[in-house]
Amino acid sequence: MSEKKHFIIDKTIHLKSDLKILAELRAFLRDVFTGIADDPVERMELAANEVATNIIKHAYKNHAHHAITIRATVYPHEICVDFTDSGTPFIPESIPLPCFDGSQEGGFGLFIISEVLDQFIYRPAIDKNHTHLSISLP
Amino acid sequence: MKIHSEIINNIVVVDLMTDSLDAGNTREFKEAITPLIAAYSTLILNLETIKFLDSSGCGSILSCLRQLNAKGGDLKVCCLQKPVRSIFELVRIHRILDIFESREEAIRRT
Repeated sequence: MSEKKHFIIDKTIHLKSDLKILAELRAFLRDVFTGIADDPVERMELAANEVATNIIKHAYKNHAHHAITIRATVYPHEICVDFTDSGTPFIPESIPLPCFDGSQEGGFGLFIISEVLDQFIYRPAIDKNHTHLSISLP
Repeated sequence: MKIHSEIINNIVVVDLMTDSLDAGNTREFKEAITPLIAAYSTLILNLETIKFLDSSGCGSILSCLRQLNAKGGDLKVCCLQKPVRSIFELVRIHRILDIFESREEAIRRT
């Protein structure tokens, strides 16, 4: 736990719940994670993009102008992204695994998140939902 | 979304003029490509410029494939950058789509 206090970089951005912000979110993450190897950064960029999309589409039901707070942190041995939103909570365990035979055009988001991250913690709440993503650095 | 299309022997080659295909622009992508899917049976999608693809982008490509297959046609893709190839492999799209290294190879072998 003590290592968690010793971050190298810690930045926060506040964005609106509009799908047009995804490119801005990725640019923010690339900026915070500058100098880190491509593989963990690309994986985190993909996972964070999917989490933001889920918040906008499902928690906020595509209603723009709600707030999403995103904190990106670099530690000596891991990178983390934390989301806070006030949308409708969901139960990750209730989402079925996607089909991979081409018959399904959606439903891959949570699967991708679980595949590319080392840690995914979702804490739903009535007032604020928290989502924590982390990837260990080589 | 800006796309460039070229008709070669009744095959339409579509070059995307954007660096990402994500939930923020898949609607524009579908609007741009729907008339081409309606008019042609075989479509080659050149993803050379795409540096970032998410699950919504994958879904929109699968939608193109399904629409073309439904009318007896097919979708091919070419020129994948590494992050795009990685997500194709993650969601197994590489098993159901013909993927070519270059635009020229895709045209020659279609």
